[in-house]
Amino acid sequence: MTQVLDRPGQILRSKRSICVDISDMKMTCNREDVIVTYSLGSCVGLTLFDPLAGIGAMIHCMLPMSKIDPEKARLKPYMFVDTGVAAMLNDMYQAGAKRQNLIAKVAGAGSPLGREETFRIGQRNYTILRKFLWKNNILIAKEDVGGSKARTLYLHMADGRTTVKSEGQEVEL
Amino acid sequence: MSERENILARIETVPSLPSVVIKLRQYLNEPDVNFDTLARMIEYDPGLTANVLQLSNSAYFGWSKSISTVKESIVRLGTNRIFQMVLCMSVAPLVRKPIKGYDMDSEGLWRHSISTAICAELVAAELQLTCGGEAFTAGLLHDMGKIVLGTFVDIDDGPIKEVMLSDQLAFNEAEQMVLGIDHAEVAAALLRAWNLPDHVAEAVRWHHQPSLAPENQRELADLVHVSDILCLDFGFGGGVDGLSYRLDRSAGERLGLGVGVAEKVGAQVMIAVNELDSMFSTVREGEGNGVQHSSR
Repeated sequence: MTQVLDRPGQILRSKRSICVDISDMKMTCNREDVIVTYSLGSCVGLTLFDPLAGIGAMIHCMLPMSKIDPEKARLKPYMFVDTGVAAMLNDMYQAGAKRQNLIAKVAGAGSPLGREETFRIGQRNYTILRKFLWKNNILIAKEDVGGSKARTLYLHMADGRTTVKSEGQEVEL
Repeated sequence: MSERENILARIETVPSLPSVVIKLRQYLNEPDVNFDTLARMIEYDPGLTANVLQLSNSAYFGWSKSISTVKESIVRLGTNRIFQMVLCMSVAPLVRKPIKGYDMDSEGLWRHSISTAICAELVAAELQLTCGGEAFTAGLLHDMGKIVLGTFVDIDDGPIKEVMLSDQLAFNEAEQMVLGIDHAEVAAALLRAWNLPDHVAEAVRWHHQPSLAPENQRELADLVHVSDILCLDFGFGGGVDGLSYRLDRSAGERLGLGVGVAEKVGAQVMIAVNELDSMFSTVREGEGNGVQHSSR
């Protein structure tokens, strides 16, 4: 399940774009890489970057809590915020990242229009993510959440920049 | 001619749905369905036959012994699944291409259409809805209006986005304001031109305003509405419109759909969409995916 693409010390290769699908997570140590995830609606995208270890990762979670379907959580842990972010942190620590160095940035958690939105999946995704990170002593450095726009999230490994593209405009977080 | 009339006139230029789809639909509604007759209807089209066999033998089903005849496919997969395959193959050549006016790549509308179809079918099964038989069809075809507007009319999305942001409208409301018609109404007109049943066209017509649907067809409209919104929410193939649609709370209440079922279904949709998508990626490209579209 662990998706370590490159180990520290590996020879740098040419710039790659690593795509994170829905319910997926990718991690890399390659400074030439750009990690990207598309179509963040109510889903949340989280980037974690350790500038000292040179390790970065991105996750794209669809749903807040795995208890609604433990079997799916076993097959696809990154689908849920609770199991996904736990697995992501575990993978990063195993690769050599340190909690105190991690820079966390979040995008997504949108919702359709209307104050009467019934499902509030985006809002709940964000709440659970924030709570989980807080419990792990990780503060969210920057975020672009809410609203009704679809977002694309990038993590540029060369310098740890996180950018968000929506409605044709790309901004740095 | 007004913009609205111009758009409705352009529906005539969209290739018609292959006649085999309509014939299969009609035949499957008859009380006694004979598998030999059904197989012959499909075998009449060699391209369709090849693709039905290829899909039936895909790794997704995991048969130990390969399927060599259409009748065997029908027996093993069931008539419903076979019809869904034929319907997907029929619309794929139209849907699986970039939709310029909505800033969608070649997979955007395809993924959104199949995910909404799967979601509608799963919600209908979970809630034991009476309209479940049409859930997949209505879900798959609900956004066909975007093909007409985005490809055949080649709308400019600039003014629509502008009105949407300045007047704080939903995307379909902005379409209505700028074009005099929205993609839901265009889709319904296209489905009627394709001779699909009225109740499917009506559900598609009101998929953004299900409370306005005729009462006897509201359940299917409610179902397509919530499935569409959930799939946009989950990021299955959105375009320039993003999540800019209104969720009609009463649709979920009428269906009895709570957040627990919505999330449970969402998790299932994710897996099923990837499976269906990879199954269809094996179907040979070109020649309209084996289904001959007749021009009007």
